[in-house]
Parts: sequence; structure tokens; C-alpha cells
Amino acid sequence: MNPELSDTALWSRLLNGEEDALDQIYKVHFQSLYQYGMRMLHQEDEVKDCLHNLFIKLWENRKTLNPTTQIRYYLLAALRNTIVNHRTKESKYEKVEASDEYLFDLNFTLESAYIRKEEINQKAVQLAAAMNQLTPRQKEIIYLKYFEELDYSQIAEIMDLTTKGTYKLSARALDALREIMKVDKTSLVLLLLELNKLHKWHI
Amino acid sequence: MTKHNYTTFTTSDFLEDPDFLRYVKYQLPEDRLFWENWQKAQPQNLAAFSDAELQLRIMLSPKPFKTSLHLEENLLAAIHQSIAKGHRKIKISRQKYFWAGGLAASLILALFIGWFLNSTVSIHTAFGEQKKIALPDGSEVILNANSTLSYPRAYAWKENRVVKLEGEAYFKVKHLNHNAAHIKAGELFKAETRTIEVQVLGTTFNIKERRGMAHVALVEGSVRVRAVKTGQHYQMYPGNVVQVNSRNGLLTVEKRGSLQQSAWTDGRLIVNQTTVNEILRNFEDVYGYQVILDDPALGQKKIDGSISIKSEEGLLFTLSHILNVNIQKQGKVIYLKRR
Repeated sequence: MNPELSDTALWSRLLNGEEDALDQIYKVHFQSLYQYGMRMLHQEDEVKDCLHNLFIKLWENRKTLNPTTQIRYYLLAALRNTIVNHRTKESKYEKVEASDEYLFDLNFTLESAYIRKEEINQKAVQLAAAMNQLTPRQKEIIYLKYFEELDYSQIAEIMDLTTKGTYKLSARALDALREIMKVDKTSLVLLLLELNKLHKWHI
Repeated sequence: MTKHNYTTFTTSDFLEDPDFLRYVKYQLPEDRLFWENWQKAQPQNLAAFSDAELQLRIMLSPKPFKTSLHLEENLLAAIHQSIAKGHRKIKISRQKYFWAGGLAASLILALFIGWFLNSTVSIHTAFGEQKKIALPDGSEVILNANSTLSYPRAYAWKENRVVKLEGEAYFKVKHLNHNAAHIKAGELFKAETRTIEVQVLGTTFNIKERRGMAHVALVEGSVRVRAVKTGQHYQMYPGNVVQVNSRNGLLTVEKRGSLQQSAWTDGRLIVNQTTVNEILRNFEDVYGYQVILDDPALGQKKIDGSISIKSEEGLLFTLSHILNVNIQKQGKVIYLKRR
């Protein structure tokens, strides 16, 4: 079945107040939401609270929700909003700076099923190191693009990126990379190309 | 699969291509076949392809988080419960945490107060060690070797000056009472052992309880000694030594001899018609050895005088000369053998 068709049908069943549609949505997307939540909040308890809130709200507001063809995208965006609200509340209690620069837990490593032992060389090590130096927002872009396979307009929508903010982001990232990659200019050029590509779409 | 002209692709183009992503990410057999064949044709941009592949692999390297056991089912059940009750988690959770925070804080405070009021400070000396202890009320205690002194942590706060002793200690109790006709609770000082209770206002005295015998020696002032077992008591005057037998609680009084009892605080042992056995038992208690005489008759010998007990070697050396014996140390056992 075409996933978009089934998403549309499932969503309208939720809007009609069928509670087992909520169950089905939860079961299909739990892993995806949990992983994204953990990368942002790092604490299972907090992720659990946010997911709880998200699904309760989904149910309570079902009558006013718009139709969607992509439930996963809708849920990821909603979860991110829930987490941002959660952080704002937390910061009221714990005096945490409610800034963009929350850690996005995306640790690039060469010890992965994706990397064959014979591929581990100087260049791979430097690439991984450089990627680990990316800002939380840049890591989040990579995550949403390559793990969740969202397209750039969706990512921009989810992350509420503005052109001005992105300029700042890329300038900082480029400085950091220049610092890290002093030695290997070819890799730097390659990486800069990737970064430009990542940011091109909202300039 | 829609096939592009991949031979013109740059690294960036590959990284934007959904088919390329699917190949690297999922390694499906048909994708692998396609890309292996494509590489075999030795396209000009093979290096760009390899770079993109390596970069993408590293980008995909972060490992997923493991959910704790049954989290998915439990959370769904909790969501259904909240829906049934018709309220939102966010309010409950905030209130709960707020509440729990206050509760936890008062619980910790209560535990702390309980601990503070009921716990004791306990000071122990090892064999051969002495400690000088300043109590919160300004009283002083010299704790002899192999002894334990304990008192309530809230000693000062409770206005209840009670200390417990095992072993031997010399007390200089600070006098707090101003009106002898009216003695307040906090002005009394009590020293307790298993066998006796010593009640004072402010004096200097020595307590020793070892080997089933408690001794109280009064240096100055006045104390009241009470045998715990029998309730027998005695008001002591300076110079007095009271002995209480731990087994039967019987109290006996010697009018003189308190200076001998407390001489250890000056590093001396003053003996007056004291048997060698008695001296050796004292040595054993303070230094933690077992002393064995090869001639038991030696133990009955009585000695007078003052012996330095500042070090175990010094004491043994003096004894070996008085008794005319050779000393053999084997671990924690000392053999005294007639020459």
C-alpha cells in the first residue's frame, strides 16, 4: 500500500475519534519519536513525559487538526514543539538558559556497522572528528535529512529556521571546521561543499 | 528505480540523491548489484562516489538509543489512562514534581534532624594510641589506648552532657553550675560505662573499665558513682578510688590512690604494692599484646615505684630489668623468660 494513502486514511480515522487509530499511529511511530526525543533531551523520563503530552494533545485536539498525508513528519514537528515548550517550562524552574544551543546527541563514530574496518583511515578519522564538531542545529539537520529522510523544506519548517539565523550558524561552523581541518585541505573543501549544500535551500 | 546519469555527479550530488542514500543506508541486494556494476565501469567520478559513500556512512554511524524494558507498552497504557481520566499529563506531572520536591526536601530535613538528634559521635583509640578530645561544652577528655568514647551529636544542643566510655579515660569536666542549691539539667555531667554511672558538676577524674572491673579515681572536686547493676552509690572525695565489679555490681571504696590511677596521662605508671600480673594486664590492654611469663611465680611479685609507659619498648625494657627476664616478641605475643 502507498504509505501516503494509508497515512491519510489512518489520520482521518483519528480525526473521527477512533481510539485504535491513535494506538496504531503510536505503534508505528514510537521508535522514530523516541529516538528524536532522546537526541534532544537525553533523559528517558523527560522524553516519556513529552511523548505522553504529545499523544494526549493529539487526542484532545483531534477535532481541530488538519488532514495530513505524512503522519511521521507531523509527529516529529509536534514532538519538537512539545520539547521546546517543555524546555521553556523547565528553564522557569531550573534557571536553564532556553537557547538554541542545546546539545543534539549525534555522535559520529567509526565503530559502526556502516564502516568496514578497512575503510578506517586518516581521512575517515578526520571526517568523523570534524562532523562531531558541528553545532547542535547542524547535527539536527543531518539527523532529520539522513535518518528521518525528510526533505529540506520540511526540515526548515520543523526547525523554524530563518535565513539570518542560518547565516550565523554556518559562519560559526565554517570557522570551527577551518580550525579542525587545517591539515587536510581536500577534506575541508569536500566538507564545506556539503555544508553549503545543506544550507543552500533557505538562503 | 529512476536512473540518473550518475557519471556527472559530484560528492554533493550523491549525498542529495535518495537512491544513493537508500543504497548506503539499507544495503538492499538490488541496489548493491546496481552500484557495484556502476563502479566496475570505472566512471570518471569514482573518487567523488567513494567520498560521498564514506561521508554518508559516517553520518549514519550514530547508534540508536535503547528503550528501557516495556517502555513502549507502559507509556501507551499510561496515555490511555490519561485519556480515560480526561486530564493532561503536563499539569499532573508539574504538580507532582513540585509536590514531590517539597516532600523530598522535608523528608531529607526530617531525616537529618532525626539523624542529628539520635546519632552519636564515636571516638576510638587503637592499641598504643592516646587522643585528647575537646567536648562541645569545653570539657576535656584524654582517651587512653584501646578505648572508645561516644556522645550524642546534639550534645550541646540537647543540654544533656552524657558520654559513654569503654576502656579508660581521664576527664576534666567544665563546671557550669553557679548556684549549688539549684542545679539545672544542662549543668550535670554524666559519664557512663556498662558497669557504672558517674555524675558530676565539674571535676577531674579517671574512669577505667577493663576485664570486668570499673575504677573511678577522683583527682579534684566531687562525684557521685552509682553501680548500674545494684544501684549502690557513693559520694567520692578527692583521692578516693571506687571499684565496682561488673559481674555482681558490688562497690568498694579505697580512700587513697587516685593519683596512681591517673598517672598514665603523664606517661607514667605508679605502682604501690602492685603485682607484676596487674602491670602486665595493663600493658596488654594498652598495647594489644598477650604477655606470657615462663615462671608464673614471677607474676605474684609485688613492685613499688614509677615506670615510664610512654613507649612499649621503654616499659618492656624496665620490666625486663626489674624482673631479670629476657624478652622475646613473636607477632602479638611477648614471652618473658627468666635469665
